[in-house]
Amino acid sequence: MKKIKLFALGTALCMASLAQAAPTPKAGSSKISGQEIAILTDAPAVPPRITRKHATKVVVNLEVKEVEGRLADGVSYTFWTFGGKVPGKFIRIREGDEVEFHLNNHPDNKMPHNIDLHAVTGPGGGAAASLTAPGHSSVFSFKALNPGLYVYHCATAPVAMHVANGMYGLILVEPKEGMSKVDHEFYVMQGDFYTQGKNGEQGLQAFSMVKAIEEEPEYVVFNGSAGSLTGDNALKAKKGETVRLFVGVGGPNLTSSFHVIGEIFDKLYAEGNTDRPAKNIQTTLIPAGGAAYMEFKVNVPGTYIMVDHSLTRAFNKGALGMLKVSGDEDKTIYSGKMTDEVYLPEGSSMRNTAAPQAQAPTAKTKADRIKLGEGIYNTNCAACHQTTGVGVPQAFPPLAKSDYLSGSKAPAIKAVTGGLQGKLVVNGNEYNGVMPSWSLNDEEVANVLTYIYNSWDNGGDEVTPEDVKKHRINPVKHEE
Amino acid sequence: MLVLSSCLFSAAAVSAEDMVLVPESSFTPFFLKRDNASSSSAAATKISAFWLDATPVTNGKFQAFVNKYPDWHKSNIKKIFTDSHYLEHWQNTQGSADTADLDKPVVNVSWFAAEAYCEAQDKRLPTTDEWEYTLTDNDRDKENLQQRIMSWYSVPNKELPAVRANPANGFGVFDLAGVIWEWTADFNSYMAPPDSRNSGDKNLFCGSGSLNASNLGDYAAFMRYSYRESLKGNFTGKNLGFRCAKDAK
Repeated sequence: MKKIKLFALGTALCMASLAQAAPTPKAGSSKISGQEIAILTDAPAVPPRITRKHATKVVVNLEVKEVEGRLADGVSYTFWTFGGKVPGKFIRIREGDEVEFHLNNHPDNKMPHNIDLHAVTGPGGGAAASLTAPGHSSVFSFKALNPGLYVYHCATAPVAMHVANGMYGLILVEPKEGMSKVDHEFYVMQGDFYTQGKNGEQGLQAFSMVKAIEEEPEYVVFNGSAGSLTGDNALKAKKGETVRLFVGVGGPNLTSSFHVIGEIFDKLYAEGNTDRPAKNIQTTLIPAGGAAYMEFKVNVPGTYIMVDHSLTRAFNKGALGMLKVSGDEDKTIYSGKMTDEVYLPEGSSMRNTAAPQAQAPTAKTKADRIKLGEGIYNTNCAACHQTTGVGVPQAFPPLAKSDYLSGSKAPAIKAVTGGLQGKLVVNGNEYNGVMPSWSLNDEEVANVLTYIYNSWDNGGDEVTPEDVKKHRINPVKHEE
Repeated sequence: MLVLSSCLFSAAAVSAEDMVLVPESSFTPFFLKRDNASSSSAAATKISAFWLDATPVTNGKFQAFVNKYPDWHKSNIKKIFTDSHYLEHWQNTQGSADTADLDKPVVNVSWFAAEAYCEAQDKRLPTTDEWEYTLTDNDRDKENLQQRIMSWYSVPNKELPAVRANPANGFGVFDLAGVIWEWTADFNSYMAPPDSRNSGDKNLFCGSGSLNASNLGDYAAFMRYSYRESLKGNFTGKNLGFRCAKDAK
C-alpha cells in the first residue's frame, strides 16, 4: 500500500513540475488570438469539444423568438426561446475567451428581452446591457473568467414569466486544460410549465400567472416538452461507450433530483464545477438556475430512464427521458430476471396453499366479476394505467377506449399473463416500454379483464376463467 | 364649442374628433418615476381630467399628416428621428399607406413622429400615468381584463385588425390592449428595470424590479413597463403605435 501511495505522489509531483515548466498564462490575462463564430446547438446536441490551446474572441449570435410549439401530445404553448427551441442554444467557449454577444430580438416578437449569463462576471450578468426591444439587437462583451457549466436566462420583468415560457439554456466554459474525449455528449434541461388548463387538457394553453405564483406547475419536462427524449427521440449509445450529460435546470421554480434509473454516475461534476468530480453518485440535486454534468460508461444494453426523482414529476408531469443502449448483453454485470417463483415466508406455506384459495371469492355473475376485478385493478394496474384508465402519455398506454382491446380477447389475456415488451401502438400513439407478467390466477385475470372491458367505453365483454385458461402464457405455479 | 356641446348629450363624453373625456381621479402607478427615487414605494398620484383619442391613430390619419407635413414622409424623415424601419409597412412606390390598411392602427413610427403628429393636431402624447389609468378602467372587471391583456402579450404578432374591432372599455376608449403597444410621452422615465431581479441600487439601473412595484401579481403591468423601458425615442416596432391626448381645459 505504502509503495503505491509513494508512487502516486511521485507522479503527481512530476506532473506538477511539468505543468510549471510549460508556461500557462493565467486566465484573465491570457492573450486573445484570432476570432471565431460560436457553433450553437439545439438540445440534445452539444457543440464539439474545444481543441484550441489559446483564448480567442468568440462571437455569439443568439436570436430570441416567440414561437408556438408542442408541450405534450395535443397540447401546445407559446414558448419564448433563445434560438427557436426550449432550452436555448448550447454555447461552448473556453476559459479566458472574450465573448462578443449579440442578442437579436425578432421583429415579430411582442416582448422586450435580455440575457443574464451566469458565466458572466459583472452586474446583472449582462442583463442590463442587453435589454432589447422587438426588432432590435444589443451587443455586449465579457471575458469568461471562471470555467464551469452555467445557466443563462432572460431577466426581463416579469422574470418568472420569461423563464416559465422557456427562456433558459446552458453555456459551458471549458477549463483551459480542456475536457476529456467521450463517445457522446448530450444536453438536457429541465423546466416547469404553468398552463391555464390542467395537465393533458388539449389545445393551445395560455400561461397561468396564478399557478406560477403558487409554484404549482402542470408540466415538469426535459427539453421543453413531454416526450422530447422518449421513443424515437431517446438518447442513444452503444454498450461500452462513455456518455457525458450536461444537465441544467431552468425552473423557474423547481429544483431537480436528477437520476438515471439503472446507472451510476462514474463522475459527477456537481453544480457544474470542472475540477472536482465526485465518484459513484446515484442522484444529484440541481438547483433552479444551476447545472451539473456527469460521465458514465454504459456497460449493459437496455433503456435507461432519466427522471427528476421527485417522482410524481416524472410519473405525472413529464420529467422523463430515455437513454437507449444497444449491444450484446453481459450477464456477469446484469443477469436480467433469472427466475420468478412464489415467495413463501417461513411458516406461511400452509396458509398460502390452502387459505387464499378458500378466501378468494369466486364470481358468480358478470356484475360480481366487475366488482372483484375493480379491486384487482386498483391494486395491480392503476399505478401505471391510472384509475381512470387513461395511462400516462409516452409511458403507459391507455386502457380507456383502447383499440388494443377492441378485437379478440386473447391478446389482453396474453398481455396480463405473459407481459409485454417493446414497441406497441395504441390509439395511434407509439409506446416502447415493459409490462411485467402478473401472477394472477385464471379467476383473477378473468375478473380484472372483465372490469376493464366494462369500464371506460370498452365494449362490455365478459372474460371467463375458461377463456384465460385457454390463452394464458405462464401457468401459475401454485395452482397446479 | 363642439367639445362642450357633445358633453351635454352623451354619458361617455365623445368629442367630434373622437376623443373621450377621462374624468379626474387618483391613481397608484405601478412603478415610481425616476425623479421620485427617494420614496420607497409608489404613492397615489392625482390625474387631472384629460381628453384621450378613442382609438389609436390609424394609417389613414397618419397618411393625412404626412401629406401635410412632407418632412415626415418616409423618404424625407431625418435619420436622428427614427431607426431604419419607419413606416416600413407602407410599401407602395409613393411610400404611402395601403388602402386596405387605412383603418388599422399606424405602426412603425418613432416617438418623435408620434409627438409631431399629436402637436400638429394641437394635442400631445398621453403621459404613462394617464394611459395606465385609462387601461385600469376604474378596476371594472379587473381580473378578466388582466387575463385578456396577458393572453395578448404572450403571443407573437399577428395581422393587425382595424381599430374598434373590440368593444370599448368603461371610459369609452377602444383598443388599449389587444391590438398594439402605444407610445407615451414619458415612456422610459419609470423605474422599470431591465433586470427585474435587481433590488439594490435604484439609480443605477432604475432599481428594484419587484421591490418598488405596487402590485407584484400584475405581470401584465411588468411587461408594459419593461417594454417601454426597452425603447428609445427613435425606435419603431411592428406593433408599436400611439394615440394622442389633450388637457381638459
